[in-house]
Amino acid sequence: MVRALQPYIVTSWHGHREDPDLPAAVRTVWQEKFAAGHKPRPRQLQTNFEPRSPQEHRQRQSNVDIAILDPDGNLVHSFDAFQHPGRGPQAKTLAAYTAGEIQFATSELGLTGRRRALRPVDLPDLAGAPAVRILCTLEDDRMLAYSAPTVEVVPITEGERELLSWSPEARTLDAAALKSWLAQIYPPGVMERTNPQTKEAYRIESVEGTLTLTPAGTRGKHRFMMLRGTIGLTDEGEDYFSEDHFSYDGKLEILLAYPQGSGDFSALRGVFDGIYPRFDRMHNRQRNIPLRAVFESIDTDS
Amino acid sequence: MRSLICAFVVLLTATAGLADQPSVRRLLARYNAIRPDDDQLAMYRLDWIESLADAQDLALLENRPVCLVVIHARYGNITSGHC
Repeated sequence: MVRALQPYIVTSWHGHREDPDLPAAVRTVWQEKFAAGHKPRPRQLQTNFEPRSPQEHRQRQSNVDIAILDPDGNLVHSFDAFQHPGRGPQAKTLAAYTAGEIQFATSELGLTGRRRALRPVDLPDLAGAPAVRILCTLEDDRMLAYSAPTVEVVPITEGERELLSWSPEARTLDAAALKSWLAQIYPPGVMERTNPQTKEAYRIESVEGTLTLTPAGTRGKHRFMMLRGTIGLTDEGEDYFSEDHFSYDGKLEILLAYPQGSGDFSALRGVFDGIYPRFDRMHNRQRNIPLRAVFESIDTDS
Repeated sequence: MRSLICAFVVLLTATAGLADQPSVRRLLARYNAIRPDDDQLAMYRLDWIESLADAQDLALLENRPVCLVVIHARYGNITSGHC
C-alpha cells in the first residue's frame, strides 16, 4: 500500500457533516456515501457476491473514507477505508484491499507508470527547532491497528532545559513539569476515550510522580544524567469501574547528555514502560496491555 | 535528520566507555528494543502534508494527485497516528 501511494500527496481531514467549512471534496464524498440506496462498486468478490440492502450498507459504513483527487481537486475515486471483503475464500487483507483501490484510482488518473521507488522514512519534526519526539506503541495483539506506533513532537522549552540542567548532585523533580512530553503517552485509538457529549478525545489532565535526576558518568566531551521514576497519567474522563478519572502508570527513564562545560543537555534518549487498562466492551472487563514509548531529542545540537 | 544522527553517535560512542554505568547501557538497549523500526514507521515514507488546502496547492504546483483520508469525527490526526 505504501508503494501504491508513492505518486500521491497524502493528507487528512476530520469533521462532521454539519460543519460550515466542509471542503468541496469531502462534501462530494459524503454526498455519495450517505445517499439513500448507495452501494459501493462490487469490483471485489464478483463471484458469490451477495448484494446487501441499503440499510445494511449504511450500518456497515465506517467513519473513515479515502478519496483520490486529481491535481485540480476533482474527485476521481473514493471508498470506505474499512468496508473490505474480509471473509470467505476470496477475502483480502485490509492492506491489499486499500492498495487495490489506490491502484484502480492510479490507472483512472493515467499514472500507472509513475514513481514507485520508496521514499526514506521521514518522521515529523519542528522544522529545525529543538524538540522531543515521542514514539508510543500499545502492544495489543488483539487489535493490530492499535499496535501501530504514534509519533508526536513537542518543543523543548527554556523552562524544561532549566529543570533538567546539569548538576553534580542528585535531585528530585515533579513529573508534572514535563507534562507536555509525558502527556503524549496514550494509545493511537482516541475513539477509545472520548467525551460522549462533545465527541472530543479526552486529554491527559494530569501527570503525577516524583522523578530523580542523577549524574550517570562522563565520557569524552560529554557527561550524563539519568532521570527516572514512576509516573501516573490521568485523563479528563471517568474510569470504567469507578468514579475516579481514568488513569494508568509506568516507569520512565531518560538519559540526558551534556557537553562538558555546559549546563544544557544536547541530546536525550528515554523509555516508558507501562500498562494501559483497556476496557473490553464485549466482555465488560479490563485488559491490561503493555504501553511503551521512546523519547528522543531532535535538532538539539544548535 | 543530521542532528538526530549526530546525537545518536554521541550517545552510542559515549556509552561504549561507561562500563561503570550498567543502567545507562540497559536503558539504551531498551530504547533500541522498543523503538519502532522502519517497517513499523512505513507510513512516514508517504509524502504527508498537514492540511488539505496545502496539499491541493502543492498538487497544482507539481501536477500530482492527492490521497485524502476523511475522518468523520471531532478529532483525528492521521499524521501522528492518534485518530
